[in-house]
Amino acid sequence: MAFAAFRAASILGLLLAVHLWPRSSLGEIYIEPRVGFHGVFQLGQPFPLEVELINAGPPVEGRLEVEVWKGGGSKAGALYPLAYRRDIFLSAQSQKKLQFTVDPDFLSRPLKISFTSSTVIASRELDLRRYFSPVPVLLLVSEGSTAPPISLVPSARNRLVALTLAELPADPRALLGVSHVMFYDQSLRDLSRSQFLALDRWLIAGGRMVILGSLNYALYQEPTISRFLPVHVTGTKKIPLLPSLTQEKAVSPIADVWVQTSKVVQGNVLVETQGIPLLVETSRGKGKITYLAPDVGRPPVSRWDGFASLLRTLLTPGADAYLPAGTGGTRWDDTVFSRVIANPSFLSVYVPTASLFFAVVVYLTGIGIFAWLWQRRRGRVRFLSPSLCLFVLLAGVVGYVFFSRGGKLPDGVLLSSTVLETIADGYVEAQSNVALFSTQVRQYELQARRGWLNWIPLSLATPRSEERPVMVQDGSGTGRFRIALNEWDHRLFKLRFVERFPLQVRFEQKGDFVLMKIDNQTGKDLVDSSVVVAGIRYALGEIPRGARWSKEFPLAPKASREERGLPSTSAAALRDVSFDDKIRDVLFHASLFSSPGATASPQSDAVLFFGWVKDSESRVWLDHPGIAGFDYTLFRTSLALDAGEDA
Amino acid sequence: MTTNAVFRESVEVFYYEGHGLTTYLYLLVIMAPVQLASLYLPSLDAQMWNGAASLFKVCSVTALLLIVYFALRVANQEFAPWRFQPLRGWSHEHGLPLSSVSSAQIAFLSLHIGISLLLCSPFLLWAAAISRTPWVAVANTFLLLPFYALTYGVWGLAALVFWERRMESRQILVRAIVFCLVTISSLVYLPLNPMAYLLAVIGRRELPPFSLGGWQASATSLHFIFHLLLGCGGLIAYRRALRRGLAS
Repeated sequence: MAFAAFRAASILGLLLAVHLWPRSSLGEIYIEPRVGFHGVFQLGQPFPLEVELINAGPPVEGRLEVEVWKGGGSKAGALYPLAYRRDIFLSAQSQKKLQFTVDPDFLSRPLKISFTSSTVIASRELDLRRYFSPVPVLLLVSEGSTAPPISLVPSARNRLVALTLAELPADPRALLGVSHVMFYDQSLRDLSRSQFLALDRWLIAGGRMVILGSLNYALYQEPTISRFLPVHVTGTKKIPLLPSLTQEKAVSPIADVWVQTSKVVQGNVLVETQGIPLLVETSRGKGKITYLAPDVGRPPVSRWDGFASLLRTLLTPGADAYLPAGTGGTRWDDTVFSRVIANPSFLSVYVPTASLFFAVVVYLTGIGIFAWLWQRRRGRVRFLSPSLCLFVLLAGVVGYVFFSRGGKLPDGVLLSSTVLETIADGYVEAQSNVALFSTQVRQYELQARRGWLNWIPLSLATPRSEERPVMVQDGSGTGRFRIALNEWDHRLFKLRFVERFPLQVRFEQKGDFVLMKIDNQTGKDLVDSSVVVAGIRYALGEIPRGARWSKEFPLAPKASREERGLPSTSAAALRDVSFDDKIRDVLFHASLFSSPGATASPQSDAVLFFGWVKDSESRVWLDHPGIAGFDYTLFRTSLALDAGEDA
Repeated sequence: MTTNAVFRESVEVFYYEGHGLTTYLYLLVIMAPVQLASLYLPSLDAQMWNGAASLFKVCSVTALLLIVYFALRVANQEFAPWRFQPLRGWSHEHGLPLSSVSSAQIAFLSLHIGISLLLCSPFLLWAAAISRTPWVAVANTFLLLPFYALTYGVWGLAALVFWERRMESRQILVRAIVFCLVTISSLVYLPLNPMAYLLAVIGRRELPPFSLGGWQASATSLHFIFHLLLGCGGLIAYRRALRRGLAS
């Protein structure tokens, strides 16, 4: 009896242990997300997402994924999920914060955050509709996050968010939904390199930075902030009367104001008094940096009735600062891609046409010889029949091996076509149209040069592969797009970069002439370059690196051009442009005209300079072997002529 | 089989005298340009850019049509018909039994199909390599091609026996029968069509099952049942006609 009871107790104990064992071995992961800038982001722009993982169990290695929905009505396409992924290790009883930059198109479906490992699965869903703002966000970075008494005018729709320095994102894309970043009384000594680069790139891409002066002038003498400041701050001084800093007349004058004294390094002094620059503005790429010398966080400026007006002036939003890729005239779709890929000059890249032709000729010749021998020498049937069989089998097998493993048949082809357009200060906006096509079933990891701002997958809405696309991020602006392709499948992407390309092309209209000055300080030569002036194209040929010259081009009146049978507009002249390389033809016209039959282009009445960058380096690449890569980079810049030119 | 007089006669006429070599000439002369043209010629549609991807499909369908067509013509003795002895002669003059005649004709048809497939095989293998077609699909194609050629070719033999002395009639009738079968099968239920089925096999696509009032049958089963019935029907018709022809 006792033995039976002992046995029953043992079995029960064992069952209990088995039941409890997995629970005790599994960890528990809590997911704590933080959306945007303190819960605010601009609709339609990428935004930061911080995910805090709290591990209440043993060490665990797993994968964190943030799934958003792309496409949908706003993108005129079908919905598809895109996952942002990062592999992480969590030690026992620990917590870790991970930064993502996510860019959903469709907010009606929740954002899903999931952590998956072999022992634990945790997930959380977020309804993003609670967080978005239709207009860009304003950021104020101040020491200790103590916002000075800066308040926006009541009519302002932009949300002002106060951040600490550590909360500034390290990815420039995360700042694309921000119109202005203000610094007040803030040391930038602790700004990390990636945060600095993110701010710098954001500025170049069209961001606005406002640096507000403070009595703690030593903070403004640090090297990091000096890289942004258009002045060199030397100290402080109380001035008896602050001159008007805005156009508004109704504001009362203000006396005994503490201002920073400084020397201008670069930029335009908009307001100064007693030789002290008070309001200085400088540009960086597409963006602007404004420096205001008075200490706005302390009386009397903080109590001044003209302060709101001053802020309104300083925080004027930039026009179309962050137009997403694809809004320009560059056309990139299946039609353009198929014109490139089916072009006979490009066909041999991925199909061994010449080898196949040669193989067919050799095979038919061989069969012909056998037929001739057969008819001439009947007696050797026993020899000819097996020889023919052997020849045919050898031809088949050798050809199969050659065409499948040799024959220069790549596993995939990566084609990128980039248009560089001048912004300012030697910076260009690069719009890359990328096509990746595969000749076999494979997974690819597409990588882009650091600092990309937009990465728009086209034609992903109807995936032919079951596997969803994944963006692998490391939190500092780099990313890899992982995508599975079937054989003879393709995907198109659009990417946007802002980068340095110091090729200065300036036009000046001087009466009946246009003076063109060119200064190529890049490390690249330009080939097949031309300038189109008043409907006439002038071929400039090669512009080598280091070249610097100026030329005058006549502005022939429209009537005179029509008499001579020349195109009446620059757009018409551009239609006739052709190159020896037919791929360039296709890409050039697709970059200028929104559709094949379009009669107008953005440069219809402009002076336009263009040239192909020789030996350009691709902004996207794959680390897989057996991928044929092709890059075409077109530089172009234009000047709109006076309206009366053609009159 | 080499001792069979009917088989030897066919081999003699076709290969030694060279009357049948034109069949293979046509086969190669058509296959080669089709293969090259499908790579070189621009595509018809923006979505059909990948001519190389469809290379094996195009070549397989071309080979299917050519092998079946020439198998029918060879079975029907359309090449040098004056060189073949009448069937009744084999029975009455040489005393050959029905089984010897039928097996010899079927063997020769199989030999012709085998040689046709052999000659086409380099084109198919090269196309498979270029279009990265999996081995399974290639192997299936190489099995399906002789299967269809035999299934349809046996009707050429039947027509030969039915209308031995009316050559023009049997030529027209054989083509009409095959054309109707292929067309009707694609109209009634596409998976019955050999070309559609072959393309599905190469493309690894699932064909829609046949459903009738709640009853469902897989497309593959129906396809093979249909073709086996067709082939067996042709064979039975051929043997009956042959028995009647040799007996008369």
